Amino acid sequence: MGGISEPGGGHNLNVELNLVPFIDLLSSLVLFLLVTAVWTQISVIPTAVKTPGRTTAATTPETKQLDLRVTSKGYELTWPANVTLPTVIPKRANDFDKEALMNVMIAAAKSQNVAGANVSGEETVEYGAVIEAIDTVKTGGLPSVALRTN
Amino acid sequence: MPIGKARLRISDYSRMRKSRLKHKERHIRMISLSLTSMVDMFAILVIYLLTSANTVTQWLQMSHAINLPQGKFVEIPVKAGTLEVTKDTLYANNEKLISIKEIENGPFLVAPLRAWLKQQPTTEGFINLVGDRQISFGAVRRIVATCQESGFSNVNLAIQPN
Repeated sequence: MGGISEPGGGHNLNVELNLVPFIDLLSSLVLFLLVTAVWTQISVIPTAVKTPGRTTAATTPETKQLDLRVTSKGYELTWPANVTLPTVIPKRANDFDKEALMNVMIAAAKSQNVAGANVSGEETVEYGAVIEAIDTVKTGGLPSVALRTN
Repeated sequence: MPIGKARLRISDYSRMRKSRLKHKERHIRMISLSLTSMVDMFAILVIYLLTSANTVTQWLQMSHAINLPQGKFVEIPVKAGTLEVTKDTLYANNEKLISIKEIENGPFLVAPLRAWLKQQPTTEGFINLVGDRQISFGAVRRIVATCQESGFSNVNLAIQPN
């Protein structure tokens, strides 16, 4: 146990710290924190919704919008008039080429001619693939992304 | 042979006894728990748990078996209505609304969802969508379009950060 003793002299100051209640307190605090801790985090990708003929929350001008469509063959990209970047990113080994999409998005963000993106997909495409595309567009440098429902 | 030399003196007995006692003392070990290091360990653990604990309550929870899509973009969900889309059913705040097959084969706007959304406060047009990664985008776009039609144009798509 912890203690303080004064060296020399007949009057020893020997103060014993009682650590047991301190340990009790700490262990119950550890248990409480472990029980209340959130181990599985859920975060979100905020997305505006675009349906033709309806008002939208997105404020990016249509002329600076990239249209990204997720199909069973890969990504199809329609760029604004003055941008010359790849229009098709095919699947690689039966998987979407997110790395190539990321490189294209970084290039698009650098060009400053693209301000946002509208993402849509085929009926049969998995929702996860569309989410991954939105995530890649956002992390690639185009934060304004809308989900096109047509 | 003189008898006096063979006999042990009293002082010899005392010396032998002392050496036996010293030998015994050597075998007695003091066992004491080092509580200081234990307290240190607990304190470090408490500090770690306190710093890593979320200050924002994680209120967006999954009540059904949903395999979330993964993503790098991290944002804390806003407090709004939650739609859970499993592989076969659409739930709204844990209330079963409609099956996914009915959504896929039905009209573009999902009627039960529309009715449910009308009862909800708009909360600045926000709604949280917790969807399974394997469901078809066809079903999701119908759900999202219904949300927009009902005044919920900002859809937060739930992901698991990787």
